[in-house]
Amino acid sequence: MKLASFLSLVLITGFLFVAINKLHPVGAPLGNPDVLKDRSSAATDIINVNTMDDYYLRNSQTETGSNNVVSSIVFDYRGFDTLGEATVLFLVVTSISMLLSLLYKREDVDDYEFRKPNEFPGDVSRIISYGSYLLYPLIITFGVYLVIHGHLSPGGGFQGGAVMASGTALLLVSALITRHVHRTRRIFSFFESLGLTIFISMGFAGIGTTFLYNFLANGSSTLFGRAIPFGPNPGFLNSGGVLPVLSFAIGVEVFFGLSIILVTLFHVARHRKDME
Amino acid sequence: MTEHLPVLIIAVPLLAAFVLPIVRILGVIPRDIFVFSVFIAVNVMLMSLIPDICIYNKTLHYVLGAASPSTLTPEGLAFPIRIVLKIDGFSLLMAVFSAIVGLVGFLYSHKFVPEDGRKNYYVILLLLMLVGMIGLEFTNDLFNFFVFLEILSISCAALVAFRTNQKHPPYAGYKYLLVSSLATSFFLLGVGLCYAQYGSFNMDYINRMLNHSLLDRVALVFMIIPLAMKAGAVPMHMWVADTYSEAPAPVTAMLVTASQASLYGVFRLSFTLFGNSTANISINYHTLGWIIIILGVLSMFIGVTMALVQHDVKRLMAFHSVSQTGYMLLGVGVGIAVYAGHDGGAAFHQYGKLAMTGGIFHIINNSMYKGLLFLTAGVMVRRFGTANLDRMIGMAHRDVFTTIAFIVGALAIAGIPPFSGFASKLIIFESVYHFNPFLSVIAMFVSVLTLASFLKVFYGAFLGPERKDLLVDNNPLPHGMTAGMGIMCLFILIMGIAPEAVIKYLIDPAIAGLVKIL
Amino acid sequence: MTDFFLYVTVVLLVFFGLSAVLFKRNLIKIVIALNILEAGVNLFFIVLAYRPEGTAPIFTLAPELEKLRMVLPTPQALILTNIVIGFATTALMLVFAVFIYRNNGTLDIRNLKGVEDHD
Repeated sequence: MKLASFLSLVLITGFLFVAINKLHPVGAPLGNPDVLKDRSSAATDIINVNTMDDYYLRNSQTETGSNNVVSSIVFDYRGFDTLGEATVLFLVVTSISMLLSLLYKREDVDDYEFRKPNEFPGDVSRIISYGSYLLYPLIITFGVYLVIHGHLSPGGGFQGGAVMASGTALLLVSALITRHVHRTRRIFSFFESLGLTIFISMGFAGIGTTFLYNFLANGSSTLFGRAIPFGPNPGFLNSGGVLPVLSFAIGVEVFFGLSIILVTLFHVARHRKDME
Repeated sequence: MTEHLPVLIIAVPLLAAFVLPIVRILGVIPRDIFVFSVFIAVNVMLMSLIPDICIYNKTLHYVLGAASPSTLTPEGLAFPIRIVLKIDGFSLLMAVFSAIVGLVGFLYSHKFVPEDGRKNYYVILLLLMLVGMIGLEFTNDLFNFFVFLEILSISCAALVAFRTNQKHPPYAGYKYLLVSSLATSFFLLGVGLCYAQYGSFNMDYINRMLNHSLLDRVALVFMIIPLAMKAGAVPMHMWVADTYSEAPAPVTAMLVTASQASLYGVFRLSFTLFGNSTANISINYHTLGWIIIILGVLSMFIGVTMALVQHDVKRLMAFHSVSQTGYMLLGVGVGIAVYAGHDGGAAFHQYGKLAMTGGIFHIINNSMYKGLLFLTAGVMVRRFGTANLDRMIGMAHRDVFTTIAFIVGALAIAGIPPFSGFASKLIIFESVYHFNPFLSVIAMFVSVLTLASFLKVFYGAFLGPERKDLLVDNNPLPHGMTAGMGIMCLFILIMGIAPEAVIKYLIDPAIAGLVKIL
Repeated sequence: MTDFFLYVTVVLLVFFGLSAVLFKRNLIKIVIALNILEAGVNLFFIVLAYRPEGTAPIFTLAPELEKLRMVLPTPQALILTNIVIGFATTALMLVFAVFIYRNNGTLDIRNLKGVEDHD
């Protein structure tokens, strides 16, 4: 058994070394540095590109209205992958709820109360708990900023949602909120389902043309439809078509999904500690 | 609406899974009706594609998010920029049978899984498992394939560990998830190697641009081996017995189909992505074919010998699935080995195509009879409270229908006419005999051992005096379980009685979707 | 030379991750090793996307077009997906580990071997 493991390890590493020797040097032929030059006055110039990435760099702005090319790929060109990825998160939240629901006792349900910051047992120092309550709104604000500026600046639904969920983690470890897990989980999972439903409904809304079609882009400028010419610009919130909506949906889903995972796992750890 | 069917088949069960926590508020019965109608809808949508694809030999494309579903590339571009779903005969065949097994799994779970707080999650996971299988069978995009592979393996792992309070299931789930995430990580490395050369993820585009460099071969290894690992071929079979035996019976039946979805990936990649019949071949098909054949023969033999010594009925059946995987690999491996050989495809037309027919026919047969056998094993475990064969006796007195179902499944897996296993095994024996008589003899020998092993189960568990004291559950079977087994029996009989029709209308279009030199 | 080192880092990460998966005995350590392996795969895509002196592919307040050079966007989008998937897998595996520990009282696979024999 050990020999077989060793052999497979050597083989795989060997294959990888062969592969990297044959790969092109870093930064070389994939993609064309000249592609960004504004060669034509026409809005779209799709002919003079050699690879998929060049196409995205050159045309995503005019097609989707999003300044952030990565966001336009994540939510528009490869939106179906993102749907799958959100499904994976939903799947794991579902599985964890299913597996861990055996551990909960019924009495947890009724025991519903927030601990006030000054009611702590000796576990956590008061400075830390007050500090975390102060920090929490700032973290949430930053997360919301990342979500709603997903199509303009680095960030988007996933990153913003993860930042907000880190706020949940902070509250858990510093304020030790463990008492009302059931109700929290039910509320959170409702919002998680809601986020996903918004996402897939936007997909179905575009089905007049195709599933996940960006039907808001380059339309009415009140509904994120502002047309964006190719090139650098200061960024406009009302651009991007369905991108901001999808980003919002994913932000909601990721925030509540990750929060459920954190709350549940933390509850299991505390539960065990309380029993000992 | 017809042109949107490819995506609706994936999106409808997905939407159903997302709204299920809200539907649950209405009560258990509305929830069950809702999920049942979703499964039926998926089946109906898939069936409605059969005439177009299998009889008129069309290939459906669906470009997600494009200005029209069928514009593969924007005007003036050589490569697709969006995710493309592509349905040909092979993907449709696999998807149809995945959906049928999914429906059967749901029906069987109706009363089998108790209605506590966890049933809702269980149903969501079943739906997403179906989404994972159909998605990876439909997609023509490598990264999308990876995403659906992840959906499939995570839902499988969670369902395997469903009986969490028992000792073994969490470990089985852990093992399955470990194997899956290793496999998918390496698969992603292979995808990266393809992307590094061609700058695209579209299988058809990469296939057109393929230059068969050394890098391509490394990418092939990194993509095929993980999928073979997930399909449970020897030498990567160690997880199969644990996973299959610890999962609830309907989940095991679906796990068989899930493994076959990975097998679908092996064939899809070796033909659609790396297959090239016109240019001078640099990827050596003969070697690739022989590697697959050797894996197949080893799987057949090791699987059946391990199965012979088992006393746990579910582990016994799990090792038989390793052995059955061997038949499929053998059939398709012979097809690959003679595909585009130096004789200009003469050998392929003479017996290679027949071998592939047998291999692919065996895939769908296996998903039916193996699923049926696992479902009957579920009844046995429910009756006796244990999976140990030594503690089972006289089931035939109590459960006549289950006994009939078991006989149908056992005769089908052993290849006795008129059941479906006979047709596909006969085709494999015949065509492989032309290729190499020795392989054919091994295959027949394994078939005899399979029959022996199932006779053992039949004598042990079904015959003998009735022992009421051993039963832990003496209630009549819920109708859902009976219906699930009935549907499976029906399909086995139909495919056994009319194999020519199945081959003509389902298998031949599938091969036409894979192979381009016909 | 830099190119080579970037790729070698990828291979090393995959090597360390895989060897720890194969030879470590603790279920939690195996999860950590899988994460290292995934980091290697993610780094591979990022290296593929790298362009010398490239900026992030975002046009908001970017330099003027003549001087603009951007890294490739697609691998970054994919890695975003893969990171979330990796996180999800890790969480689920840890939950399994919790249950294995509760039911068997150990996380060492050598002691879990007995799991395979049934009653």
